[in-house]
Amino acid sequence: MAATLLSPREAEARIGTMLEQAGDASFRLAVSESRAFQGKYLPLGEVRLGSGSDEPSELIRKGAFEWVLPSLDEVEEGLCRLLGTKPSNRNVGRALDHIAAAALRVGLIHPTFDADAVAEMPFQRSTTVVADTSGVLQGALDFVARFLHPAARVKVPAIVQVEIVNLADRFFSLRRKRSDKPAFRTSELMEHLKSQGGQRTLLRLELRSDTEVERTYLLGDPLRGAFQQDGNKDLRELNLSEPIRAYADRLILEAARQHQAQSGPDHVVRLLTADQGLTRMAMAEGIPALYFQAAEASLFFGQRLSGQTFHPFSGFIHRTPFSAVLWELATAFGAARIETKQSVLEVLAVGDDLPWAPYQTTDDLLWCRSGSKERDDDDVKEDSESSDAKRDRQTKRAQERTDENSPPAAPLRMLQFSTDKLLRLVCLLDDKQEMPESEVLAFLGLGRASSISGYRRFLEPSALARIDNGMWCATLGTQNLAAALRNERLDEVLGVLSEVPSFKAFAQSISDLSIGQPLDSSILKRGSSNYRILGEITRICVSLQGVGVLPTLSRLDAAAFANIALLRFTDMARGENYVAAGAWLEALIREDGIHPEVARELLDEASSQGLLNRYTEGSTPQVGRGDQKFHALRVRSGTPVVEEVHLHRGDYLIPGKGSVSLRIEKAAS
Amino acid sequence: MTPEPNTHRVLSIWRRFTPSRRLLSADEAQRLDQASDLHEEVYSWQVREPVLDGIADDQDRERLDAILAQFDVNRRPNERDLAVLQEFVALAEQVIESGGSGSIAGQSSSDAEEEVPEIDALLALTLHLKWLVACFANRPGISVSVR
Repeated sequence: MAATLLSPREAEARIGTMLEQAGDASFRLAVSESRAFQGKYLPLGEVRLGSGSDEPSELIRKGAFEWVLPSLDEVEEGLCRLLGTKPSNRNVGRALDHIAAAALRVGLIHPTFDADAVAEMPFQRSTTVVADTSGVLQGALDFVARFLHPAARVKVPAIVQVEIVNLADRFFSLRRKRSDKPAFRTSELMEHLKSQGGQRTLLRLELRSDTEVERTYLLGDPLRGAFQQDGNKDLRELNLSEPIRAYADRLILEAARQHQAQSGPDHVVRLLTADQGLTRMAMAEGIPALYFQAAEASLFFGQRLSGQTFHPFSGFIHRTPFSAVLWELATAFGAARIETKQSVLEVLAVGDDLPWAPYQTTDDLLWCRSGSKERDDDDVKEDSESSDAKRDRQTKRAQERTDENSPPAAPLRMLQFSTDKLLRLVCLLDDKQEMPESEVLAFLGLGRASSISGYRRFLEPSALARIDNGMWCATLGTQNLAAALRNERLDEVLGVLSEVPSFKAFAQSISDLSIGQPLDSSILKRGSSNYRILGEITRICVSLQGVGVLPTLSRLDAAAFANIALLRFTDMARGENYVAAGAWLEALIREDGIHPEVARELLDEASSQGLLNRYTEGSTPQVGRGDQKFHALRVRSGTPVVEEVHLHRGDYLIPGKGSVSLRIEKAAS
Repeated sequence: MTPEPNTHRVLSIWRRFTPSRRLLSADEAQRLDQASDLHEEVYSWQVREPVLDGIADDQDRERLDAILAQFDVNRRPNERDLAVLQEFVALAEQVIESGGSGSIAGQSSSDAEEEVPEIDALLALTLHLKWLVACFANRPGISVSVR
């Protein structure tokens, strides 16, 4: 599955389409930290859309969903299994708490504030809330921005930003080490959850919330002393290693004090924290705290949450789109995914092969890939692998094949011949039943007998021809293949050709590929184009420019195809009415392993059966987007011909009709 | 029993109030001092949706309404403390788990531009009350009223 960048709004549309296709209003949710979970997914329950006349995408956007979470015991057991550790590991409990913090940040549940702090809410007087790191990580800052702004102004001390950057640095350091030890993986999960969740909160406030965030001076000199050991002998003798841990807290409190000193007497400055020690220190120094309890997994797991809640102070309905939940989980873990009965959508925030640029953060774009479950059964198992892991596994498998020196990984022994001439020779031999080799040479346009060896070695060992004393004779195999070619019964052609050892090896190497995975060109060697063409006409592969030879082994019925066709169209359209038909066909090759000839037939069939409505535009047959083409078998005057087909040609999809652009709609039920 | 209309009710949380000085109630010419059983409202929240209307079973609705009736402000504060609110939450969760809470057409939204969707108001109310219970639990002198 190739990943594309989507905004939450675009993902809502895609999820809506998935649900419409599945004919269901629920889906399962799972998350993965690719390294810590070694590519597996941790199930996080089921999400059910609410009833209503709205489209599923609208229900998702309006927060009309219920999220039924598994019990704490279930999740703890699953997490321990994924991390290879035991529940007694203190970090497991902390990781569970940090998972709960994601729901707090997104607003599905609220932080448990001190009773007297709630009594002050919503603030009647102008108030500045100075957040510490726990406030950022555990959803309290989001609560303030969401429900107490604008009476509450938000202040984030620079030291908080620095602490979160340090968390991120620790996370990426651990990630780069790639250790498989359970303790190491558990730490990586912790750092991932904290750092990425924290950074997302700060970025959300800065980029997408109308909350005004102020920043303070660092107030630390030397600041580095708060985060790294200082070799200064005098400092060492002061035994500051423990107190220095509270130095960051002190800087946060100093930021609040400084702001209080600059504010008028009626202006209240409050310190937002879940740290009891910092709270006491603030109270002792005349800074009222906005204390909240640290996130607890027990308040989250086993619950039934809703995207439609009541505003805690006004009583109005407050909505949390499901895409916000999905984006938060994907950022905190690295990957989140939902799956319906038929398809899967994976949202990725971090990946070795996923590039990042600032515009992605500005526009809140994450990498998404979707696919059908039929074609990717591995993906839908309970603890299935993420794409990272799958790639690792494929690499490992390829490595194992290399190690074992097994046939598929070794260069295939390719024979040289012209595919078109080979197939026509078979038909000619079937017509004539016997041909002297000189006549065969003349037909093939070859001058030397040695040049014929490729044809002979392809046909003779598999009994597609018999050669006796320079006489080429037809066999039952010749007859069967010729009949299948003339009648374009391509499955039969494939069956007969699969008896030829060299083609069998080629077909096997194709079938070993997963969808979207190009054939390793190093195993093809000479003559590969002949076999690729044979693969294309028998519809087991297509060569895409710039990508390579991709498998196209998916065989679907019209109903299943209609769902995929619509999904792929929706993915590409992004609100437009039409997409380029050629690009749509390419996407089906890449994402779904569907051959263009198969896609063309199934589109016609699905349309005839009323499973979808297709519309095309484009009056001029044209060749667009370069020279992307493949080979197809056609029969002209009873003779099979291998033709080049331009995928982007305007009249390919519907012969005789301009179909440069394509629109697909779900048929009215 | 005829259920009371459940829209526009106001849920209040009260905290025992100890005046630092003596107070005088002019109407009743009554002095109020530190020994008086005074309570100050520390949280007030108006229900804007008919939260119980989506409940399928009349008996469930009546049982929940009966608990709400216990929050009558005329009752003693210790008879309408957070334990009663927890009782309401527990029963509401049972109703929700049994599939007995349906959606109602939402009437309120903080965004006037948006069409209000259907909402499982009992679930939303239960989540809100659980938050209040968590925040005010263990705080002495807390009582609840629904008017």
